[in-house]
Amino acid sequence: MVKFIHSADLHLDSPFKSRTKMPLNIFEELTSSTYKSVKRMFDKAIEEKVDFIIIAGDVFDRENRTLKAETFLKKGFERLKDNGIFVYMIHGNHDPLSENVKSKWPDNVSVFKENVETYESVSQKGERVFLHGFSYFMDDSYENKLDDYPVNHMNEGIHIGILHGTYSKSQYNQARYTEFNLETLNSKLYHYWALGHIHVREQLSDLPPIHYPGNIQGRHKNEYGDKGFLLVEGDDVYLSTSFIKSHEITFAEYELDMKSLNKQDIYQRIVEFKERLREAGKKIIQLTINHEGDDELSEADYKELLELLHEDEQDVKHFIWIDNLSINYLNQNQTAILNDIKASYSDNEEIFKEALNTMYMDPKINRHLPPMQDLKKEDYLSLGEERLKMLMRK
Amino acid sequence: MKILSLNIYGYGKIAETELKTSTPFVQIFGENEAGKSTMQSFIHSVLFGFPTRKEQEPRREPRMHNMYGGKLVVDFEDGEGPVEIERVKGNKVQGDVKIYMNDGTSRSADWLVRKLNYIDKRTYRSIFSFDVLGLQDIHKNMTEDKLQEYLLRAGALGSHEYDEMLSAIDQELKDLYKKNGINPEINQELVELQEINEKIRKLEAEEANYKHLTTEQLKYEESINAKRDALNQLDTVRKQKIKEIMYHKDIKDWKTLEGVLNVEPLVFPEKGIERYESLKNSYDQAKKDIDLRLEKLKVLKHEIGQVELPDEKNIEYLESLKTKEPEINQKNLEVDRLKHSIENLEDEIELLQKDIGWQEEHMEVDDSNIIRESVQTLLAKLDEVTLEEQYLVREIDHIKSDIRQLDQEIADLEDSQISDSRIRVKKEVLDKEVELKEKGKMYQLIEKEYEREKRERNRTKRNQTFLILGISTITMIIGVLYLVNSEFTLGSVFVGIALVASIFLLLTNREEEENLKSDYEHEVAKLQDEIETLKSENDVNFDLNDARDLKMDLRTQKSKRISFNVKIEELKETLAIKETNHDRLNTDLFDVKRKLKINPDIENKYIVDAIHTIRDIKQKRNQISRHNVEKDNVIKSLQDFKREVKDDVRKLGITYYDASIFYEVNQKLTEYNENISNSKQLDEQIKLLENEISVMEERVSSSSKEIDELFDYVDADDEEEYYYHARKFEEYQNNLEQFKNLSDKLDEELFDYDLRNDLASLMLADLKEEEEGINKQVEHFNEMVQDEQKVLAEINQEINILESDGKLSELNHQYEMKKSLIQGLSEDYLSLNYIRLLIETHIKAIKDERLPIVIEEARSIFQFVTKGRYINVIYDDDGITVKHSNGQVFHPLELSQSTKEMLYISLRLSLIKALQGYYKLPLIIDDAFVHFDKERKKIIMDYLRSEVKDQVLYFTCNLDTSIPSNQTIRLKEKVK
Repeated sequence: MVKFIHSADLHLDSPFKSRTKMPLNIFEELTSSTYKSVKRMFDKAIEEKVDFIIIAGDVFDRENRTLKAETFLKKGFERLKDNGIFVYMIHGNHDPLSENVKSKWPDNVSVFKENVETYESVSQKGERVFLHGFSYFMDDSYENKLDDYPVNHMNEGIHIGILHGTYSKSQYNQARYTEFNLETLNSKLYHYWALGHIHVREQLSDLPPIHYPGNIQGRHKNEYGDKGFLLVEGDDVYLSTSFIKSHEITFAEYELDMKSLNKQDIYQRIVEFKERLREAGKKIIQLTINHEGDDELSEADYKELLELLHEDEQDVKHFIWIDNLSINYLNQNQTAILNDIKASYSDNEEIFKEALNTMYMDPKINRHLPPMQDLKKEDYLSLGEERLKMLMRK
Repeated sequence: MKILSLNIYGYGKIAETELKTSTPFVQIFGENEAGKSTMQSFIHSVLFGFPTRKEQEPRREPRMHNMYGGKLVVDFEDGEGPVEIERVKGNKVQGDVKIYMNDGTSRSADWLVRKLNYIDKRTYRSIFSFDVLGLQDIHKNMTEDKLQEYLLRAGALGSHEYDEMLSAIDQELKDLYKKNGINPEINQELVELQEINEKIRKLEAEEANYKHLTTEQLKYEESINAKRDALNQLDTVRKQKIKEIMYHKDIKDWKTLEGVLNVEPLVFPEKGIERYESLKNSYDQAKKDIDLRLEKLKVLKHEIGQVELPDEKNIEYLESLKTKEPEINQKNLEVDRLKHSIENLEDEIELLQKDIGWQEEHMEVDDSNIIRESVQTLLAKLDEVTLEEQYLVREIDHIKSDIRQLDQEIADLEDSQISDSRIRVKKEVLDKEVELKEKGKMYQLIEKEYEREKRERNRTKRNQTFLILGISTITMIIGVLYLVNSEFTLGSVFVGIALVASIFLLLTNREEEENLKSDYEHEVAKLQDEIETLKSENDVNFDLNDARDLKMDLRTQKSKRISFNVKIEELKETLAIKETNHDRLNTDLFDVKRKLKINPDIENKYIVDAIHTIRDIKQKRNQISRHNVEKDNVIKSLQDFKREVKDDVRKLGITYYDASIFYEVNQKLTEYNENISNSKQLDEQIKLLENEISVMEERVSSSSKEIDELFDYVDADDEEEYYYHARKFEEYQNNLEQFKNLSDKLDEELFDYDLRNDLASLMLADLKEEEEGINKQVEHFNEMVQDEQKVLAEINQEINILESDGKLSELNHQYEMKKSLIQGLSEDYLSLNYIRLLIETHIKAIKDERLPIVIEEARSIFQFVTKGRYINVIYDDDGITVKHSNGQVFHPLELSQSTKEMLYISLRLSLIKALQGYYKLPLIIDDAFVHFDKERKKIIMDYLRSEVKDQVLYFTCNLDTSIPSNQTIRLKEKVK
């Protein structure tokens, strides 16, 4: 029997995306969350006495590659070494080989090079395990490397493919690096495919097991829910997986129905709601308040309310941070304000471009903005309308 | 929207008025001061609120009463049915509005505002209300700007709102971001972001140094390791040198010894000195010992000559005599014991005689078992007789006491007897009570029977009574009737019959005697009286059975007493016989006592014991005689022994005494034995000494021989020379030993032969100099290593700082956080900017696109209402102009008043048509057509009624008769 951990997309020390200014305690929790998550994984590995750990790419984050992360990982690996656990690691689009690692890993760590390689490992029970994989050399797509994975003709030992890439039928909005389809993977006759890159946990196939473990800690509102890694156990007949949580902070979306939009009422209600959530651990949430009556919340009250709610979380251990609070007026004809304008001009790309140009023509700011072609005017129209309504609600 | 009805609670001078206005066109006719303007104002007020102070309009609050406001029923033509809009005076200046839907639900004021698409009162008036004054200055009222403004007002937000929106957006945008600005939020954040970025660059540069540092670290580590190796080697050399210095002296010594020992080896006997000295000692000692022993031998030989030896026969005789001592002693003791025993027996006999009352011994008395048994039989019989006598006496006493008790009981019973006369009376009473019970029962039966019969009889009697009463009444009436009718005969007959019947009734109705019942009653009472009398005269309060029992008891007790008396007589006879027997037995026993010669006073029961005592006396006497014979024999044998020995011992010089003879014999024997043993001992000592002397002489000779041999070994002539050889040999041995030790030591320290020779040739100073040189070298290397370690420590520290420093990571986090904040703000900015542009475009579009449509519409209306005389309406830089069908172009001022008004109406109607998509509100026309001639008025009326889709409320003071009366409302009277 062989036992190992399959993880991917550690994005160690990855910065969080939040539009709110957070108090120091939450900021620190956020910065340490990926570390804590990785530590939990290592703890579990030692506790379960696994044979090895697979990290299927994106160990580090492009936006924050520091010595701190490397040093942390090195120490962690050394701990694993002391416990006789091996590490098989590939690099992904976020941490390609070209941006080489400054540290030297301990000798229990095997890093795959840019060409498909095979490492052989022997489990505690004496089974031979063959691990096939490659690392990204650059931030690029490597479909051609799929052919280089050797086909398992020997029918001896356990074969595991490690791959950082995108399933061709995946619906997730992740950048589509190294697309593959199941036929290609199946044709290799492996016992397990350890995938990485897509941050949502997903099983693509049961025989052979092909898994995305998802990332180990959510980093923004779209990476909601439990995050962690897979504990894989079994033999050359079947490898079963079980998901193990390791996240420190979860992201979530909630809706609340409210009869009154009185500032005090909302505050009270949200505070109670937060208290209920608190038990389940640290959270960053998107909160929508549904209102069916005719009340309105003014811009000033809205800001005050949000500030109050944020102040409450200062120095709270199990914080519930409201990243975004939106109010949904169910009863109001939402589109009334700009109906005619939207009807006549929302198709006009020129106007949208012109609006964007005010910032995109400013070199000071445009490099911090997402690429212009990625922006959707519908989003901006509804956001603008929302903002305008808020502004007009004096 | 269509107004279906107006219900004015109180507005201006109008109060409690209701008007139905459900048709699309409504002519409201009223003379001056009928309240037409008030009504228009009322509609405006209900829809948009009562006039405020700002508006230049009277509030028209009723003076006479306090109901202010009213209700409009409108149809929004959205399929929801009529809606009631009620506005009354309330907290707000505009009044409180309530909206009731057709389905009974209500809506808020905001709902109404939305439903009216945010149009306000001013705009409504400007577009949908026509009055004659407004038509006057078309060139002033209908400029392009005004028109545009009206057009813009259409929609959810009027132009005013657009302005507000734009200014709010502008303000927000200004706060958010400005190109090259400093204060706006995004600009500030950008500056901070830049600062963070710079810090990051710096830190990243530092981290880039990390690689270099790790290389350096490796380099230094290797160098230090190499130096450490060299140091280790030097240290080994140095240690070798120190060792050489340390052992230099030894090596020198070794070398010297090597030279000294380079001769033929010396010999000397093994332990030669010790051996010689011990031999010499033993030789001297042995000589001395021989002398001493010869002296002692001489003394012993003298002693042995003085000792005397006794004769063997004497000793044997004394020994045999000694063996007889216990036998003689035993015999003496036997004699004493016998004497003593005889004395004791005599004493015992004396005592026994006293017990049985003998003065002397009577050995002839018969003490056989026959006598003893006959005595025992007599005694038993005596006991038996005595016991029987005692029993009889007791029995007699017992019976006597029973008789006494019986006498007492009989006396008691006789006292408690009840007399016979009382018993008789009691019997009588009981008989009478039985009779009374029987008679009582009989009486009850008779009474019950009697009651039943009585009821039966009464019923029959009642029936009879009614019958007789009926007959007598009827006959009486008949009789009276006859009498009244003067039929006196028949009348009196009937009356008579009636009377007879009545009398009969009276007679039969009398009570019956109740004889039988009372007889029984008397009898019972009498019996009861008798019983009572008997009871009171005699004491009958006892049980008859008890009395009978008492009598029986008395009789039984008396017969018992008689039987007891007979029994007592019998017992007394038996007792007399037993006493005679007793006396006879006593006489027999006395005879026996006499025969035994014992004291006759002795009690009978001790006779047997006396017989036993007599037997004891006889036995003891016999024993005494046996003892006397034995004693005589022993005394005789003792005297024989004394005679025999007395002579023999005198020969040996011993005088015989009974008491000391054996002591003397023993003394003599001891003396003889001592002499013998003494002589034996001396003899043995002499022999031993002689042996010793011979052995010692032998040893002396052997010692001197050995000493000679030792001397010969080293070829020494005397002791002096022998010792010299010994010293020489020892010296040689020591040197050899030391040499060996040194060789071993040096071998162990790995100095080989060559090295030893080399070192032996060197001076100590040379070696010390070499050591000094090595030390210096070591020191030098150490210094170098220390320096490098210092550098390495610095590098390590730098690496540690870099590794443990989370600053870059933190800054990256801050940077990304800030970036995403900026992105968020930018999104806000861009989206608002987008909206701003959309609004501006919209406004521009209205100007550019809608105006021509409105003008074109106005043109077609104008052409229609002027019957084609004017064919175009033009807006240009000079303002509005119209084109006549003849091609001439006119300024409105040049037109006739009515044409000008026509133009104005056309423009307004086209505007209304253009705004159809936004507002569907009723048009209110306040006598706007006063300047029109009949034809024109007809045209415009026709147009309004046929072409305009919205409801038209036409207020006028000149009734247009061409309008059907169902579309006309007459405000009949002037309102007070």
